[in-house]
Amino acid sequence: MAATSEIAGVQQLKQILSREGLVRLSEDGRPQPALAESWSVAPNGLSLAIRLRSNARFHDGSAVDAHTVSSILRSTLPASMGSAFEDINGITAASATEITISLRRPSPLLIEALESQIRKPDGSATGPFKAIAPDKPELVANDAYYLGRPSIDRIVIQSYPSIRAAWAEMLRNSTDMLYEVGSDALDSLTGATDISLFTFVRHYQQLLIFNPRLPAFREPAVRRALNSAINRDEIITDGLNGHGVPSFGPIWPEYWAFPANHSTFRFDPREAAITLRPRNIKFVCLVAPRFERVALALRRQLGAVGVQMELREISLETLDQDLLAGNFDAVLTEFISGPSFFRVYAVWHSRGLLRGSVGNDHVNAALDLVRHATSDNEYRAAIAGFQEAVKDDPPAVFLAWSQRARAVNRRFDVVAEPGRDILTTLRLWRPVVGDLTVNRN
Amino acid sequence: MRPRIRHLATRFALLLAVAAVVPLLAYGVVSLISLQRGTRQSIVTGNLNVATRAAEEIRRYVTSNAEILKALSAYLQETGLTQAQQDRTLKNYVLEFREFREITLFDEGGAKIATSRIGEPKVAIPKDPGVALGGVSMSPVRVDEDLLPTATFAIHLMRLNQPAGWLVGEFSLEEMWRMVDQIRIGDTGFAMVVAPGGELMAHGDPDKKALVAQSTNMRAHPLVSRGAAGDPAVADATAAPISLEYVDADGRSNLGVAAQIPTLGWTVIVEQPTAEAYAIGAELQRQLIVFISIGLLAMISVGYFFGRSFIRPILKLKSATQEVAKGQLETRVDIRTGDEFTELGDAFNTMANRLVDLTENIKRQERQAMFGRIAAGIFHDLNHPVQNIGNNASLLVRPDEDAEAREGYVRTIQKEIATLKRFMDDLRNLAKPKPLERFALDLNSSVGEIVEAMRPEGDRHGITVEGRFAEGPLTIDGDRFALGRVFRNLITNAIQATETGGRVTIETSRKGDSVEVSIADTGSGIPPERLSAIFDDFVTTKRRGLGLGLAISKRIVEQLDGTITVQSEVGRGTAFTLRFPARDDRAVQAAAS
Repeated sequence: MAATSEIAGVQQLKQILSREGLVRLSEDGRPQPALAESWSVAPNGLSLAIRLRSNARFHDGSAVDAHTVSSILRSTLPASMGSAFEDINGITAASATEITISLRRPSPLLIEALESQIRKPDGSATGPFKAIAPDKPELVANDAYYLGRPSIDRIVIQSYPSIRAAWAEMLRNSTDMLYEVGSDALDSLTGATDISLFTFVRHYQQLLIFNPRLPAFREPAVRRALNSAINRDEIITDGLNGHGVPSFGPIWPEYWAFPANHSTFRFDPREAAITLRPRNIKFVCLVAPRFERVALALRRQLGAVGVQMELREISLETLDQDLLAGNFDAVLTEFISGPSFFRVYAVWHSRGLLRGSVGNDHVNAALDLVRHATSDNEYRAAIAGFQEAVKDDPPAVFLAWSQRARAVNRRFDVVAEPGRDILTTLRLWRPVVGDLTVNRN
Repeated sequence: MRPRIRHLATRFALLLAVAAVVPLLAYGVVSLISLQRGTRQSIVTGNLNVATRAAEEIRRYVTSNAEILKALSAYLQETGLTQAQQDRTLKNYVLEFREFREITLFDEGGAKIATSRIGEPKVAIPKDPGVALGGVSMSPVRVDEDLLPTATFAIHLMRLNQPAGWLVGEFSLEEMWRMVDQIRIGDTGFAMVVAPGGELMAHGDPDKKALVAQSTNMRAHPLVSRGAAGDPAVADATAAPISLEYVDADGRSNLGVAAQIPTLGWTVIVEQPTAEAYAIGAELQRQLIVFISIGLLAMISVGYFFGRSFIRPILKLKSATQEVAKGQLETRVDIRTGDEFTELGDAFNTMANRLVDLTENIKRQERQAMFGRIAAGIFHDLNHPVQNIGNNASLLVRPDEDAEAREGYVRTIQKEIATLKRFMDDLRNLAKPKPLERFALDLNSSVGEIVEAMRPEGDRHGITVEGRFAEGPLTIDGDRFALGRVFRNLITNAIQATETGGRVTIETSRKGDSVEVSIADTGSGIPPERLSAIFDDFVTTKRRGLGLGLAISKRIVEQLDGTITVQSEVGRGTAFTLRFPARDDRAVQAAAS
């Protein structure tokens, strides 16, 4: 398996394959059983009972029992849930396989937050593959995996400096899967008969984040106008080589509670220019090299409405640091924002993961309404309200959900669900019948 | 005769078929050859057109982008933009012209003045001038990290005839890949682009793009090795496209054509498996062969059935002739073809009618002749004894005859009456054969009695009648009296056929399960032409007699399950051989007891 970026690749890939949470999220954001076999919410919404799978084991062979998992949740949820953890009153083991989470207020986001990886302090996880060592890019099949042992015995993750190098290795049959094929290379791989390409829309969206403390961006009208000034289709064409889906807000388009008739930004550069040109807005935008072309397209479109955006190249690592420190005017980057709404909450609430670097009071209030909805209808209404809040007081210019592809040698029979990342079914892949001589390294 | 007629029908059918199909076959062969040549020429021409057009498109694509960079350089030089304006211009340019991934303006010393990049430029002033495209130098093409073919365009800026910096652009030939990808000849025919040094720059086959990523050199390719790809510095602008058939590394026969892009030194190769390239021609060829074969079969079938129909009257005549030959003189033919065959049929019927008349006449004449012969024979055989009886009866009644003479007359009369009686018996046996009474008898004994009785007759003619008998009894189931008559008849015939001094030998013998009796004489013999008819009724070689003796003898022998055969040689004698089934002696003894 080849990853073309050390940062985005190896560690993330190892985590995807070796770790899992109590629930996993379907493509519409609904939680599905994972380590948790089932769960139920008390009628008053103040208690969540979770039943664990009795046959689940950690990679070290120990049972996934309620006591251990409760302890892990108590230590990991405060960080992963941020302010939403305030709703939790306590996490206790009701029996060997049952956990009870008591709540101060009903919290529909809690169950989504339980996708958080369950991992012992020593690093032992429960996924279908287990890392042979923390510092080695190699995994082996988890013989005791509760859904059955994977067909693939061993996975070695190899980093390559470029897609070209990785692809060349794949075509030499030295590699069986290319972890990520970028939009530029996608067209050139399409059509190869010995390689299957699986494209999917990532749960990441590219966006231009404003620093809420910068005077130029304080007025919601300015941020709305900036959103209206952007032709997202053109951004996708010029910046993403046509491989992307326009984005008008942080909610995953397929999210189950996201109304189909949600409000969006209308592309209206003339109207935007009326608002923006008199203000003579100038700002510096931090850009990672991989977003250069999007940045140029964005810069041109903003320039057309009288906004001068100066671009400054910066590494992803530095960008993250500046973002957390609030040391920026604007940042062109990408955030994970799906498929659950909890991820939206975690990013965009001022008391969330980015610690006030983004967001605003209007958005915070809308997010809190979602967080404390007591019924499905209330929840759906709150989601629609959040989208409306984003439209009224946008914390960013939402650009596009990016598209990616993974390339797999056809010697593998890949179980693929339409539109979904094939990595989620890796444990079910099998060598094609009659050709068992796939790479085993 | 039958196979011959069949053969005639077949030959007739073949004649018709060949007469009709040979021109068709000749036309087909000529058509096939023309088709093969025409198809190949057409395919080669078509593929050459594709390669030539693709080469022109790629040349135009590259040169037009070089012109774009030239226009940009002119704009930057003539408008006196500030550095920031130049920078913005370059950034907008790369968005406007997607083929340029980066454009950077350098001063003469190589320092960046403006760039389309957000960060530091990746391109640099080229050290190698590369290919010259009207003032723009183009570097060799390489495949970048995103798998896209990339080249560097560079323009050396001049102001007042003095060097004034460089405008360098990274030029992505992604569109060229798309062009090449879109070239699809049939299902498996693809195009590729090869650099002057043989480096593969683009391949339309998705499975062969790996060769590009692996920087495969195509010098070994037959079309490249034949000089299709050459140095642009020496490339002939009028170099004609070439075509070639060759077997590739996979063992597949290909039809390849190559067209050069003279200004770039690149070669566009369009390659298609011959199996597919000539598939339409092969299909047409197959259809033509099937059509000709069907036509041939149809013509043969038509010819055969027509031939059969044509010769059907002949077959009828043949069949009728055979029937007539078998004696079915009433056979007639009914041919109503209205042509000469009808006349031939009528003539046959007339002939048959006439044949019936002639046959009736012959039979009538034969009956008359036989009746005359029988009448003459009867007259001859009866005349002498009757006359003899009459004479002796006259003498008998004369009073002057003494008793001894009378007694002689009486004996003579009695002998002649016996002769008449035998004659009458023969006639009666002829009309109504007397049933035989079969008893076990010893043939030695029976034959011996006859020999002894006939020996005086032989002596009277000076002929020795000799009997030779096998040892022991030769028992058969037979009628003693009937057999006695047979042996007597045969011995009498032998004596009569033998000159004085001759010999008649009667011999018995056992031959396996049979018993044989042969009567051989040293007489005059029987001519071969008469030998086959001697057992027929009323056939005789003697002046006297009805010719019934041998016919009656044969009938008796066959009634006793025996056979009678004759061998004769004129001048040397005749031998009759009679064969009877032997009877088990023990059964005979038991019967006797």
